[in-house]
Amino acid sequence: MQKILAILIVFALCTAMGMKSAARLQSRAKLLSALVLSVRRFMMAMEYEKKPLYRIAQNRAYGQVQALWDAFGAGLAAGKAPADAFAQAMAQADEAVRGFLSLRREERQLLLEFAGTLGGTDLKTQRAGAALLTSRLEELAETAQRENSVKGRVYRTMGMLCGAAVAILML
Amino acid sequence: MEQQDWRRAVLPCLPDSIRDMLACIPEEAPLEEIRLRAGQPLELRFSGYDRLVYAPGGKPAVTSADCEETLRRISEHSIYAWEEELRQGFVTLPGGCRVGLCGRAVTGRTGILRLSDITGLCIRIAHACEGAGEALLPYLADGAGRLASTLIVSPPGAGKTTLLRDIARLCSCGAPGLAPCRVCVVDTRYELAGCVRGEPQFDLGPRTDVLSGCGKAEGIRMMLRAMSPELIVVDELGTPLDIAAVLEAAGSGVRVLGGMHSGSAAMLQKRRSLSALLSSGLFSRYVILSRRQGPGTVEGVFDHALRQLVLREEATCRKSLPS
Repeated sequence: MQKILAILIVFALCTAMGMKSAARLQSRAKLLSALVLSVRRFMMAMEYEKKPLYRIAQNRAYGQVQALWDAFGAGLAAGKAPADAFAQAMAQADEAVRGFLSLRREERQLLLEFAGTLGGTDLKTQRAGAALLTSRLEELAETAQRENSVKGRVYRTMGMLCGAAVAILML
Repeated sequence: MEQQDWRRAVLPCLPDSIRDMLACIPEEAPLEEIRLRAGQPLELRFSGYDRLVYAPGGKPAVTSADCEETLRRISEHSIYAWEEELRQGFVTLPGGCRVGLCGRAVTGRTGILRLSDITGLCIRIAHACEGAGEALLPYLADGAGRLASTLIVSPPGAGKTTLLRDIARLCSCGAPGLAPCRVCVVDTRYELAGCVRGEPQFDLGPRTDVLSGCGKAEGIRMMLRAMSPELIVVDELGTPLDIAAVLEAAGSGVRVLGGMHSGSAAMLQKRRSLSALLSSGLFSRYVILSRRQGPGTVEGVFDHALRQLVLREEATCRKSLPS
């Protein structure tokens, strides 16, 4: 009886690990898409309302990355420069935004560079900077989506197979 | 605006080094302007005198980095939100203080696109002088409880805008001999109302609507169509288009309170572009200001035919404008 229980636990653990790895890929793909959408919304507000950055960043619907933009707005309202405020917001988002930790170094650097240009130039240049960022983020999101659909399935399957193999060995 | 209020509005916009230099200014000092020029000492203009402030060792107090930092703070790290103001060369702060900008003009097909490399800022401390127009009202009222269409004429810096603002406020609130009326202000250069994000920084009265940043002719027509004004207030009339719009307003039965730059009534008559305005009889009153005894000195009040009215002593002295 104990042996059967142990086999079931091992099988479940291995399957869970596989699913967790797959979920991480899915979460990353969703986060990148959410970032693209939020940057677009931010730019729309900037173009249409022409209000200061901190007012655009706060109290808007930014979906999954709401906490990131709220923290950014709070930093700006406290008098920080955009680059500093965004860096601090990203640190807070690691805990507050699901999947934010999965962002790679290159992606974080892209976001920080974009934040550094915010507010320092006219609207045309801001628009161009945002277009570059969203274009790059979309590529990354597509890659992440492909990875999710291919590797995610592999991880789930591998998890189950490993679990089954260990279970058989234990028998 | 009280003197100490300017500190609340202006000091947060300045870099720490400049702020420290301003800390030594007494609260009652009649500060009019703070001028920052890259590579130069800080200039403080008071009423009647000015001072240059140097950094320790006689070095220039202001650097180009200070100018850029000031602009960043003024714009709240949002240059894009102030594009139109930067193109015109000034920004209005909360409280009505105006910051003039100097630097490199980036031009395009339509004219100046924006100012870049800001190396000079002129912060004009706002002074709202409530009551400045009270002594003149008996000469400007038409006897039926309304303000006669009036043109205030003065050279620059003589208090024309301050007087326009106060008379608009009195008309909106009502005053002895003057019934309250609906006032519409066409504030092309944000000087009358000092609007920041659409909110007037000066008190223009409870029955006043403000249209900021719009051309005078277009603004007057918009107000006539949409806001049913009883009095339209507009500053710096001069072009034929402005005059045509003002005449149209008068033809619609609306009184006009206008401002114009000129040295005297005689100079006014010599300006050919104004002959249509003068001969139309639109303005029943002309108020001529000067700086002879400081800003707001009333040199004379004239009727529609430019005949001078006799004024009592208190109407000729500037009462409320800063000394």
